[in-house]
Amino acid sequence: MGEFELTLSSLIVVVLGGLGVYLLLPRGTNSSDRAARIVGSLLATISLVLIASNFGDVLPNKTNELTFYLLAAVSIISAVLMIASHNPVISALWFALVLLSNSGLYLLQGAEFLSAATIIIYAGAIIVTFLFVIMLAQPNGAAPYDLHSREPLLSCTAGVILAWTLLGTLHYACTEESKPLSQRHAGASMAALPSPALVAKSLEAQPESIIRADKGHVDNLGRTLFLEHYVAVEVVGMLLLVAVVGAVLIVNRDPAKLTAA
Amino acid sequence: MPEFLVTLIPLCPLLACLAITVLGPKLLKENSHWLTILGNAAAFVCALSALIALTSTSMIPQGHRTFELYKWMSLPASANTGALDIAITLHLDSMSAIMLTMLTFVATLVAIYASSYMHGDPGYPRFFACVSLFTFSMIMLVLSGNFLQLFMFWEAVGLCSYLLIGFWYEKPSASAAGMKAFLVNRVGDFGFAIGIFLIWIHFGSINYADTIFNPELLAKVAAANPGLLETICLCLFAGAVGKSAQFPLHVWLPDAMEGPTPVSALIHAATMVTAGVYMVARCTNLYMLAPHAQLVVSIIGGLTALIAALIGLTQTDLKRVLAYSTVSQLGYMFLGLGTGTFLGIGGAMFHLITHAFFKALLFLGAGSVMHAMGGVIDMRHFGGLRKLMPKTYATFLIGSLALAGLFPLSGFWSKDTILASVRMAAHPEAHAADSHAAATDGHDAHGKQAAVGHDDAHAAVSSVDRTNVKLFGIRATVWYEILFWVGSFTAFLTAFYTFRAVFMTFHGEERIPEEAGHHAHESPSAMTTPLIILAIGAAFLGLALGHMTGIFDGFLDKTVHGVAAHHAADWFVIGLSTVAAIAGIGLAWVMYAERSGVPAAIAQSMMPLYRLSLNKFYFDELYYIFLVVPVMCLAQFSRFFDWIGVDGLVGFVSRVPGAVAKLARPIQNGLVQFYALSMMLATAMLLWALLVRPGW
Amino acid sequence: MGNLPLLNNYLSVGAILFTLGLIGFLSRRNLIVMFLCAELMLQGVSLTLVGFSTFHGSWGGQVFTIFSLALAGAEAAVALALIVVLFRRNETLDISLWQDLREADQPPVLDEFEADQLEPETVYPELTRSGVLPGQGGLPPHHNHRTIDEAIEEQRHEPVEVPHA
Repeated sequence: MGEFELTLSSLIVVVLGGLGVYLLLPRGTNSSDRAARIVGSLLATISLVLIASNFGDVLPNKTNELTFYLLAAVSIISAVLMIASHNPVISALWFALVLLSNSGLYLLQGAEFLSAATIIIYAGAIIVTFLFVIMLAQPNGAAPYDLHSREPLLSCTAGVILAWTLLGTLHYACTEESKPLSQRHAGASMAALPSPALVAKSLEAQPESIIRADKGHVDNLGRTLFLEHYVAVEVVGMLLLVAVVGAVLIVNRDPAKLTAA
Repeated sequence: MPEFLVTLIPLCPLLACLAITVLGPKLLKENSHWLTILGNAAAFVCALSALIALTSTSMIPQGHRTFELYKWMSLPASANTGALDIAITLHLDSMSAIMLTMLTFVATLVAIYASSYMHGDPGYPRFFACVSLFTFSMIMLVLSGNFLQLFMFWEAVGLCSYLLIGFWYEKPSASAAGMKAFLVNRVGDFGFAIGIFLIWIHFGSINYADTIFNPELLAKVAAANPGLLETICLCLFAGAVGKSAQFPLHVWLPDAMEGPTPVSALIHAATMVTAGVYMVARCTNLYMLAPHAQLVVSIIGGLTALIAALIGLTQTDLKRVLAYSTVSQLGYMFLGLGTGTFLGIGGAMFHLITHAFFKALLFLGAGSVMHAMGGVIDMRHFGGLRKLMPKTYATFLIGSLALAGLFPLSGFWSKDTILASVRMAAHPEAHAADSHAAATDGHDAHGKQAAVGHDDAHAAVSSVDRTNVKLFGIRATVWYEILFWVGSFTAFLTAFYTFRAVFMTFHGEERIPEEAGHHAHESPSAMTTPLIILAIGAAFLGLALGHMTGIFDGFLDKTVHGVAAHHAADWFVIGLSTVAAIAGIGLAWVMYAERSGVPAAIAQSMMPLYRLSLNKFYFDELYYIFLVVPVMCLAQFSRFFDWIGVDGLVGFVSRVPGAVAKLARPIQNGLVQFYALSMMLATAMLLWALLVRPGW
Repeated sequence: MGNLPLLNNYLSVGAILFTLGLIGFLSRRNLIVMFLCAELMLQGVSLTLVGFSTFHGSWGGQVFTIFSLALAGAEAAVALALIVVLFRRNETLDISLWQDLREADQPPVLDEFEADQLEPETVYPELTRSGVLPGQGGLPPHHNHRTIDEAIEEQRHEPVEVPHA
């Protein structure tokens, strides 16, 4: 059960994190802000620990719990470093680390296929494409504009407001009527002891059940994807095709003409 | 009388107009006149057969017939107005048949004449399209069976007139003259429209059949609303004053001579300008119940006749002399219409017909002269053309004699009838027995044909007491006595200025302006043939149809019952007008037959009067000062008000959103991150709203 | 399944990732880094979706995530193509140069550092590029962002346009 209520103390926690991020963001020259970086890292870490201390002790086995905390910490720290690093190449690499830890989190949730797909598609394809473009456009490392953030204080304030709101909302959403979400919306849920009537109704609505307990995870995911969402799959396929054609078309324009225009 | 024959009368010119409009510029070009001539000629044949059909009692026993083409509009009756049922109708009776025959005949001749006169003009097809359109509109005007249709085509002929006056629109004076004609007519049409509204309000209908052809109802309404019919008559007469160029709205007609001469002959002499006369004659039943209005009609007519004749004395432009002469003769017609006697109405209508012939003839003759002189129309620049242009001279002379009113030419008969009717109105007691006899006579002769309300109409007419009619404290008889002498004096003036023009143009030593070039010869036969035909008409029409035979009156009697009554010839009037005509011609001979110093000397001795006449009594200047200048001041004021007031307000209103937007504009700063920030804050706000009000 | 505190944990991590992505998107000026931040936000959302999927025992969340993966791929293709085009025009990845879609009378947002470009770009030793004729020598350092074709074209015209060179 989350303890993160919308109180002054929770706001202070989030503000601490925001301050840390603010101090970590690039703000001018390289040398002078080393101290600021250290302080920022400390503040961010403290904030993170404080937030994590509000997390419930929930996982059935300790190994999994430890793995979750580890992966979440890696993910968040990598994300902070990603937005804080001067060099876009480094940023991209930090992002790759975020992705890796995220896929670990997916795995922890039992989403094996997603975990693999994230690594293959995101880390393997998209990040590499990013790196290609960065190398093509900016092979010399940090450009002047990478060393300066735009309105870092304002951005961090906005981030603090959002984070505080989001986390607080989670708290209230989970504690409302002191009942689990699954029981309040039984019709929409397939978990937490559904009543036999509801099951019957659900089966009636879906006479030929797609999910089969005797099959594996990927099998069931594939069934859901291609039996329930086949139109969306087609649409996404078309979208990818259009995106590829569009990308080719955009890049192959004559730059001289563009400059003239 | 088959319906399609009557339908063909307007249809032929309409088809010609449409065909020329579509095909003219590309295909027909210099052959456009054929369609107009054919259309007009076909309309003439149909009109003539309609006329003949009307003379026989077997074909149209009632003496009139209405053909409904289609229902134009039909509005249900409301709380305080009657139902409005308006159909496009062709109302054929003897009066419209006479007008139609004259109109289509003159239009055909003018079209033939114009085919030669307008030869080589770049707007050749446009001209003939307009002429055909005019013929169509005029036919529809004449044939209309309700006031709305009348008004509509009244405006349509005005439009054609505007188009044709400004035919040479590159010429500033021509387009200005067209504009002037249009605007001056608006003044009269305003009154006309109000008259129609009054009729609708009080009669609940604007069809002829329910109003002016229903004497019973007329008498009832007149009894219920004293003074109403006088008002309606005056309002309608305002329209006639505008259309027929009567004082004080006569100023547009002389300027309208900027148009091509065939147009002057057709529209501004023979047909369109007589629409006012026709309309007043149409409403005879109405006017007979409004003696004051009739007196006003007469006074305006007489005054116009005199003033126009006086102005015509000194004009040097041949066409302008004829234009003022037209105004003057139209004044005569109104003089006759206003006498309140059937003699006067018959005389006015007859004068309308004869005038159409001899005035069209004179205009076409003037056009012939103008054509030969290379466009010069100022009589001081040419002279002695009688040997050069014998046919034009002969026909012009016949027309002038007819206009002067010399026995036995047509003008004599019609003008004398009008003067006799005025004298009759001036001495009602002397003619009382006569008119009573006329009434009984008409009743006996046409009792079977007469409409239901015929007897009542006569009863109503005779019930109007004319002896006590006064205007400005002067008895009507005295007014008519004055008008009689004014008319007679105008007859003298008419003869004088007509023959002044004849002598200046055709007599004396031969002088040809430089502009004439190789044109200085008799016009081609396409132009002289219509002249000769019109001359024959101008010469013998009066003799053939006038009082000697009584054919015209007898025919018109089918519509205006009582016209055909026998009247003893008024030898006093005949003698007086003949003396006046001969005196006028003689005086003109003395002064202008040979170039002499007499006119100049007389002009010198009466300088102020001469100036007054030469400058057209300063009507244009007066109108400029008292009408145009105030209107322009008002326009300036309006412009200023529009600029400061309306524009300012609108501008202010338009600046309000701009000012509001100015506050929001910095948000659109083009930075993607700023937009993202807005989105994020909005999301946060949404979440907060959900937290504060979880029920949402 | 149906473990609410566990869900809360995952959602919290997702929210933090999303917020960090947002902060990065708002404050960084490099087009590519901004884009990476957008992907980070997507990751946060994906984590949330998977968390819900697990909590409800429904496959919908995972299916959603798969679609978001595909969309991210499409997005990356188009956006990177655009970035390349933009880079070709201005030779920079600074987002501040692309403020053209603002109100006509609004002044562009200038950053304080642009007034004094303090930091000179790090200059690396420049080697003769392949595809350049040997006798013509290396290109001047500021040409290093041009494409090879452009450089050759420029060199071919240089003697004509600048005789003293």
